Amino acid sequence: MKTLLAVLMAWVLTGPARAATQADAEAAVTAAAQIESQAEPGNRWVPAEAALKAARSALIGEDWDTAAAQAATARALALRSVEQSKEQQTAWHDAAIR
Amino acid sequence: MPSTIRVRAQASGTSTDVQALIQHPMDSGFVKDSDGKLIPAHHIETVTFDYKGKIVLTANWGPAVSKDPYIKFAFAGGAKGDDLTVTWVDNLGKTDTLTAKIT
Amino acid sequence: MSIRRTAPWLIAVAAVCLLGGAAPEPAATPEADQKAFQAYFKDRFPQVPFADFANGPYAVNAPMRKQWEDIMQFPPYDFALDEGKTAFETPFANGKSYADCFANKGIGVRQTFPYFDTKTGEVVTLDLAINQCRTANGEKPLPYQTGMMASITAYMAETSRDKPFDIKIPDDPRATAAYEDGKKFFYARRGQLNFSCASCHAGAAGQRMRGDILAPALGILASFPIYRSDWGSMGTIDRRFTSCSLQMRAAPLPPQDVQYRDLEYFLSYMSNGVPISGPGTRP
Repeated sequence: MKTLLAVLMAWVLTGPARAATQADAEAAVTAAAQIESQAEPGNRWVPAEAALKAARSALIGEDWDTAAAQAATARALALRSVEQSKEQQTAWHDAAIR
Repeated sequence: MPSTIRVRAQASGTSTDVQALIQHPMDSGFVKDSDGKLIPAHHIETVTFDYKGKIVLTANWGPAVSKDPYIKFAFAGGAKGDDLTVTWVDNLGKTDTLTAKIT
Repeated sequence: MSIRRTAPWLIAVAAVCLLGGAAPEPAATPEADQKAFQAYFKDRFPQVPFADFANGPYAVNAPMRKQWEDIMQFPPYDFALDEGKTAFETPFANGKSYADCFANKGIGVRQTFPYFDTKTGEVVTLDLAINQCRTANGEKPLPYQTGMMASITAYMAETSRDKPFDIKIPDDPRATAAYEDGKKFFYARRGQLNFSCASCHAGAAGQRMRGDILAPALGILASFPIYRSDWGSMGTIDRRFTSCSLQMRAAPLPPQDVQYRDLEYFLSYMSNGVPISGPGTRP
């Protein structure tokens, strides 16, 4: 049990040091693109689109680390934009002049 | 082709107030287009205002003057009904001129 | 009085009071919105005459106004205006012209745009109407945002100078829906910077954003199309919506997208009574 725990810890702690593989990078980009596609047309964040574009370029250039990192950024920003749009469906009403 | 020069000159007492608007791209030669290529310099170098054969103002412009430049000045003399001729020449040798009446 | 005899009367009154208190807020109609909107800006800027709201930042900042008055001695949109007049008066290849597509031959009609077309069920802006006219007469549509589209709308706006905005919302649920869509767009936050149009043009109207003064939303479209010194060229309402979107770090919609047209519909209706002061010039 202790050995297993040690091995598990080692694996988790060395996580960031391990380079992204092609599969990781492609999966990350696909996931990010999927979330970005859920964003409302009037509310696609410019930095999210830019990061996704950079991720796709990196994939073409076979730079898996950059692709994964940019995809992670794109995904995070896209999630926030989707959240913002959902919130604004009702929140806008409070801001209205009446 | 319509003139690139619009001028308004008003005699007032012992002097004449002049305003002119000139249509010109005034490209400095330092700006790049969306493909990253330099837009070549194309700007007015001199503007002259001629009243009765005498140059009352020479403006020496260059890349620092913005697109569609506007100039306003006054000169001593000038009377209603007289002619005022405005001429510009740019770095590519293009030119335009207009004669307007002082009001 | 004994409690026994008055109790039912008291209960009846109490019931009415309670029911009255629990009644829902009256539904917001466009008319009510417009009244509240105009009142809000009149309260915020009591020294600004109503018609002056058409002049945006110049109505609420004296030094900017002085600079504007100087520039207006020779308006920078003059060249576009001339180009627009010539284009407007030139017939199409089939012999017809813009005058055939608009009421009153297209002269002095800008203040009625946008309108809701009950036949097609959509908001029609002046820019869209111009291109509809072109395609109906075998001409290629003009690109939006700047260039010839801005020049022609500049000329049409000039023929309507000083005429008050007169936008109608017909008694049609689709028209009300388009209006509501525009209203929502105006007030909803968007982009990474999380601003809504209202954040700057209602809440912060009259204040500075970097070197610029924010125009109040009331009358904000009255001076379009504009020669903007920042652009060094003419721009239509679409161009401004696009650049504002980018400034909030939200990817812009295509010109004349239904949401932009609905937004223009809402903003124009809110500004009914403000005179057309276009074409205009801005910093």
